[in-house]
Order: sequence, then structure tokens, then C-alpha cells
Amino acid sequence: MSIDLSQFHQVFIEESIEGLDAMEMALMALDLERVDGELINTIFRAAHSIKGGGATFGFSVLADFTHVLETLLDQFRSGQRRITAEDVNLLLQAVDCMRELLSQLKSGSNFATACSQTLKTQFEAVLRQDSSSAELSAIPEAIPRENAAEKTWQIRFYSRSRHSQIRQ
Amino acid sequence: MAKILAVDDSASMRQMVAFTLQNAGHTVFEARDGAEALETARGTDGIELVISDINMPNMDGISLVKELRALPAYKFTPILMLTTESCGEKSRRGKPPVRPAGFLNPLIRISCWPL
Repeated sequence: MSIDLSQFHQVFIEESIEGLDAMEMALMALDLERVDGELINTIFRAAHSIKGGGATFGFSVLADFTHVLETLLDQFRSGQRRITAEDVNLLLQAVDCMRELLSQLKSGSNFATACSQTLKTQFEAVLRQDSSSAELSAIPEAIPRENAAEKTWQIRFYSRSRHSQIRQ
Repeated sequence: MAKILAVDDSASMRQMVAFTLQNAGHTVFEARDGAEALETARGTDGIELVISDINMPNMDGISLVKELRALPAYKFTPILMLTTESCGEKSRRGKPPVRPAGFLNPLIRISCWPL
């Protein structure tokens, strides 16, 4: 069974714009002396949803860009890295950049923009920094998607029974 | 056909899951986060499957599983965690309450065969 995913594009773009607004507000509300975990989680969740939806709906530029962002945000979230004023600044630029990518998608274009290329490189540079980077490379997120072993599962649910059968 | 509860804070993901399952003839209840899902689960008889995102505001998917498992009616209900997180840390954390089918993204299709 195949479904036409394009019917969900508009909803995705709208919710992503809302997510970016929330992300921007959370970034501006952040107190770097006392980082509020819930704000970091709000920021992470926005990037995470945009990445997931972007990948699902085939918006590869947006998905790849947000993936780098998500990797960094996940390090803030898990306490592996401390967020700095430079990071916040970069993330605010990323918010504007994602807005641009989304408005491009609205008009049907899925291409990298000047800001998406520049910022992605900057985020990748940030990710390469730091003493903990040796450990970080072991995180599955860092494995390029092409190398990850992809598996397809077929799962059957039998209604009105206590059994579900999972097979590969 | 089954009654299925679909939980995701992302409207596009939720609608996609709901649409796919409804197309296959199932009845789908939607919830935007764990707290809403728990309320729906409590107020609805005969839900046979729960499909839930992990990272959501108010109540996340892992907490939802724990809450559902504490309800007699949901002790054995199959629960699928559907997430675009990579499967490392989260699915390990989810191990005791969930037998995870942790999907890597993207979700493309779910097919259900009735008996």
C-alpha cells in the first residue's frame, strides 16, 4: 500500500514554522549561567521534528541541515557539551535559515541556500571541536545514513487476539 | 478492524499514521502527547494497539508506556514506539516496559492484516 505523502506537506511546513518560533523564543530565554533543561528540550524537539518530517517527506536539504543541528543539540541535552553564547548566536542564525528553507519548500524548491551551506559547515566545525569529540564519534547519530544497515520489518497485528507477531 | 491510538506531537506525522491506518480500515484515535493519550486510553474501550512517538511535551512516550502498563486494561496491549531518534540510548532506556520495535526514520508504511 502506497500513500501520497504530498498531502501532508502543508501541515508539515506550518508546524515547522511554529516549531521555529518556539525554538527562537526558547533560545532567547536561555540563561547561559543556569541552563534550563526544559528550554533545551524545547529547542531540541523543534529541530528533531523538522529533521524527522523533512526526512520522511523527502526534503533532504532541510533534513540534512537539521540533522547536524540536532546532533549538537543532543549533546547539550545530554550534558556532554555546555552551550555557549556563540552557539546560541549560531542557532538563532540557523532558525532564520530554516525559515528560508521552509519558505522555499512552500514554492516547491528543495535546494541548498547560501546560509544553509555556510551554517552547516560552521556547525560541523563546532561538532569537531572539544575534548570529548573522540567519544562522540561513537554515537550512532554520527554514522552517515548511507552506512547504517537498514532493515525493513514486516509486522502483523491480529485484531481481537492477545498475540502480535513480529518477523523480519 | 482494530481500534488504534496514535500519539505524536507532530501533526503531520500523526495525520500520516492515522491516514494510513484508516485507509486500511482501522479506527484511529489521535493524541498530541502522552498526557492526552493517557486520557483517551482511559476513556476509550477496546483499544488494541498504541503507536507512540517518544519525545513529546507534557508526557513523553516512555512515561506513557509506564502509565499505560499500570492500567489493567493496557497490561498486554501492543505498544509500538515510532521515532526518528536513532535507536541507541532511547530504546535501551525503553527496554523494561517496552518491547520496542524502534524504527529508524523515515516511517513509510504500516500495513495491517486483519484475521
